[in-house]
Amino acid sequence: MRAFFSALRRGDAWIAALAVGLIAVAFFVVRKADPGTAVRVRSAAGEQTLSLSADRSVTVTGGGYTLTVTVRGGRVCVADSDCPGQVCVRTGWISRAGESIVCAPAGVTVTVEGAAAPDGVVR
Amino acid sequence: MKEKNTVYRVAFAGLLGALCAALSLLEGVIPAVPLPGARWGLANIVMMFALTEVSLPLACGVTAVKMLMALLRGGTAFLMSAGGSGLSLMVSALLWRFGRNRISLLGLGIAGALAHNSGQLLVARLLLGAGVWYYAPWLLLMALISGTVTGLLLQALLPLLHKIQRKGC
Repeated sequence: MRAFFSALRRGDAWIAALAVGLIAVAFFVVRKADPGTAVRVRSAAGEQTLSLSADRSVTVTGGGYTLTVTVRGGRVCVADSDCPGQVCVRTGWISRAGESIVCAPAGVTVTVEGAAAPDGVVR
Repeated sequence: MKEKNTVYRVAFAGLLGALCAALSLLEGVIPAVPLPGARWGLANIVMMFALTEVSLPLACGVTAVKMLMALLRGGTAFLMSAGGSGLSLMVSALLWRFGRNRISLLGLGIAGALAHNSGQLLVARLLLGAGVWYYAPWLLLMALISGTVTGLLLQALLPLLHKIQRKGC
């Protein structure tokens, strides 16, 4: 056990501190990003835009799969999908301009749009 | 004696490559991480071991195996894995080349994981657009946690691995 801890070096603490700082800055920058105003839902069948201020659910189909896209309280998520992988469902709620949910198997993207350019974070 | 050494080295490289492939697969089966795209980086333990205890070329070989395993999960996964693993290997190799007296496997693990997830993010930015930036803080946080876990895990396993490694040499 002692050999285990004596292997640690001071540099480890610096790297950990750098990591924590980087994470803090990243969270800070993301928090300041624009709130979204609308949601654009794209699929092979076409495209529709939903307002983020009106709660509703729509179903979108693509690639033989059916997704339920839900807008509630200014946020949007894929509430349900029968696609394999479930990456879109696990992405959870998004609400800021430029954020998106992608369901690769169904070929569906859900993108939040805001007043500013979607590249807001990078500026 | 020299010949025996060569045979041993080839066998050991094969062993590490297989271990890396197995861990890559295993990780696909246990989706213990709630973040899409985030992984524990178990295969990275093999890369760190190869880099620190054997040689840089072997670390490159192990990384190549890792990228090939990602190819099984599809083209997008492969590109992200390649970006992440490549950057991770570069950062780890440089850190170990110039700072091996100042850091241990813990620091190496964290730095490697941060580099991996940053590389992954950059590739995702190119493939999926600016929306992925919102995901960056979570992915970096995950890197700190998984890097700590994998670094300390290798540190704890090292005495065992040394036994296997030296027996044949």
